[in-house]
Amino acid sequence: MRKRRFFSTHDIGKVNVTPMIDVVMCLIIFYLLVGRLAMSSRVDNLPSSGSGSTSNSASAVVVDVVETGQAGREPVISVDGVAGDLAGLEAVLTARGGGTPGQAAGTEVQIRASKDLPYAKLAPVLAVCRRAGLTSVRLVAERRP
Amino acid sequence: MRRRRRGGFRRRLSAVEQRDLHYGPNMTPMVDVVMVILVFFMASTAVLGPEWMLKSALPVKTASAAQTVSDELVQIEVTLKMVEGRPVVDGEGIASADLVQLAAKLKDEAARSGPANVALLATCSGDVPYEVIVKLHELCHDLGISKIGLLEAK
Repeated sequence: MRKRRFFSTHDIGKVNVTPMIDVVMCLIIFYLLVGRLAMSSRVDNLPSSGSGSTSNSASAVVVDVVETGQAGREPVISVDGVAGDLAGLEAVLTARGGGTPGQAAGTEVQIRASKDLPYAKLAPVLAVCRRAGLTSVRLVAERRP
Repeated sequence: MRRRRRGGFRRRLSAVEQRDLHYGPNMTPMVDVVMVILVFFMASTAVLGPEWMLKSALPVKTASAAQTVSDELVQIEVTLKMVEGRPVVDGEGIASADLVQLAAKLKDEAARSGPANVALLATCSGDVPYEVIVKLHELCHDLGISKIGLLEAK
């Protein structure tokens, strides 16, 4: 009489990697999501606009201007999610212009700032863009339904 | 009497035999991963939200630049400042006006010369919030005026 098998016939030495791959994929996606949110949430109070254009430029330089909340202190300027200052922005734009200052005219710069940010704190960013040879920038606003 | 199934007479397979008969890729982990990716993109779209880009020129005032402006182009130069928490616009043919009055003037100019031939150059004071600057750009965008620039403060 054939003996009935209650247990799997798999070898004990074999490891089932399927659930491990599932978990690893979930972790990767979780960190991608958190990382992207962390980058985007630097400016959480964008002004809203009912019109504008869209941009799909992957090579655009995204500049976040975040106020520190402390009087007399300069705002924190992040370039592509990396916190820095105006000199850092100038260096990035110079690099985009092939290493020569004032040659970054073809670069798209997107400026994200909170709606309460006074122009006095935005003007130095625009001045750096001017010095880099840019003729225009793009101001980012939330879509108003 | 035993029932005959379509395709001939077959005996019922045991669970072990049924498992051994299964072949082909296991779809379960793929479906798991696809579901997670789907949820990720849905969540990121909902949380981040769509954004508008408003193009703003960065003109530099020079003597030679003034000479190269074409005759057809109507250049409106205004200064924007905050008075008692409200934006106030001053410029040629417009004094202590609000954004609605500026919009009316721009609309007239756009109707007269065409939106492509109207340029707005704004000089902002340091206390003007970014929201007002975006509002100014939105206003021009709505009127079809694409030439809007922020001049350097004197």
